[in-house]
Amino acid sequence: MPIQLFGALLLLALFAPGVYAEPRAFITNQLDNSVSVIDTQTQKVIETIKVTGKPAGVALNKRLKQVYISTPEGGGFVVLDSQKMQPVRTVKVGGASLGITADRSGDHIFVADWYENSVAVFDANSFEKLKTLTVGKSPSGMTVSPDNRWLYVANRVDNSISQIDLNKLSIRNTTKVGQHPFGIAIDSQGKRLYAANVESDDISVLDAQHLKRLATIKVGARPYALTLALKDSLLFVTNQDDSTVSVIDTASLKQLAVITVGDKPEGISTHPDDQHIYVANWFDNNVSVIDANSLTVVNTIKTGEGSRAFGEFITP
Amino acid sequence: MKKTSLFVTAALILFSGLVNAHGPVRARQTATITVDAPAAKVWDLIKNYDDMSWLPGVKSVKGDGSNAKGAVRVLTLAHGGTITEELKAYDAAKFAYKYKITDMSTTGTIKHAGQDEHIPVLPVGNYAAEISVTDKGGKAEIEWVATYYRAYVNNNPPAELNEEAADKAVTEVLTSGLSNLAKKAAPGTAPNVHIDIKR
Repeated sequence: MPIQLFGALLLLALFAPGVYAEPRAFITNQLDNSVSVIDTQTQKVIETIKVTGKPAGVALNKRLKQVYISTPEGGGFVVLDSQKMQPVRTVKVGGASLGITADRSGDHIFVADWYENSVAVFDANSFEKLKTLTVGKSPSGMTVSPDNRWLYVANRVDNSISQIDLNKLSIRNTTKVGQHPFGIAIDSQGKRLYAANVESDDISVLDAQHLKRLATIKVGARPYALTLALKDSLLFVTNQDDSTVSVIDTASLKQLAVITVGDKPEGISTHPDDQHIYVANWFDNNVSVIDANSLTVVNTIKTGEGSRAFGEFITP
Repeated sequence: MKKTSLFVTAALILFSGLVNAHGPVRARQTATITVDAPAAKVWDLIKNYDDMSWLPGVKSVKGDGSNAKGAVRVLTLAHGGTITEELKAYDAAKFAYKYKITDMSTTGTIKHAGQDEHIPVLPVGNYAAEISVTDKGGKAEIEWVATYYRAYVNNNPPAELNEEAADKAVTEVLTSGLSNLAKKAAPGTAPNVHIDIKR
């Protein structure tokens, strides 16, 4: 075989996964009623999906290769096929759905209702509602522990976090945090939980097993959401009113850096490479890409009006 | 009825149906006007952060003479209230600056859901805005974009602190400001301020 042909074949083999162009970032554009899909390899928006109802929250079902988009004014959520990048169906929940997440096995979907102070549990295969859990006031951000045992909910108006036992589907524990917790994140070991407190401009650090408060860290103005990178060593927090992302060293629990991004940064998610952080900028209608090693913005990608992307939004 | 008022009325009617659909949601209100004057001339009228003589309803401004990020101006309104604003970004080359309200006096207190609620002079929460001037073929397009929440942070707001109250108050400020700027830059300009509200 001529060496050139071998080289070409090798290149093809190397780039074959590129045909499927995963991972993709699903960015809700709340004011445009659309979702921009970014191919993270080419760093381009490859599809814009129409989703009415002021799409805000995003959740992934990795097993079923679906993306859930909450629509606060649509009273429910829209299910997207993450590969075809098309809506599959709309699920009515009622009320004002904002926070949304799925369990790690891809069996259940959890939808927080801002007004009803509840979390609805759906079967991810049948889309039947299995149960409605009463939580604190204005539930918003949610996440599931890596062992699939616990669901955590930020009760924004109650200034608390609830831990829900996923075997019993009942609340096990509730702890007070800072003022108006919104976005939450858990580390890959299920040990620590972080909450962004919008009104007190700080982060609460909790022991994820028993919700014991470990620390409070000051960040910028009106922190919104957060994500971890580089093997949980760094925590990135969007500061809506400062147009910045705070970087916290999770070992020392000190702020390491402040990175300027676009205006009104909101949703934030880590790429599966564990190194790149994507930030949706609501005012600027774009997404900033941060390299967690250099702590700089390496790209800015134009999306749609009012990019919010609240939740985990990059597919594996 | 003047054209300005017509636009404003239409915008308010269009959006009133949406306002109570969910909890506090950030609004983006964009006011624009095209003026038959060079963009540089319009920018001259607004370029000093502590000069708000172009905005009706403002009696005096106390600033520190700086156009650098972090500069603070305190507006004293005709009816006596005060608004404190911090400069967030300033771009002389692009004829644009951004600022946010950091403090406001209140006009009174009401009882709502068993609590005393203060009514700020501008009934909004977490207000930030950008004003910019762009050259459009020899004419100037002035754009003033305000983002804000309603003043009431919890669910079920009283009428004084709801989305309609916030939108209406912001529309009045943006409309009167841009109409007056147009008048100053090009006397005789029709005050056709276009208002767009999204949330």
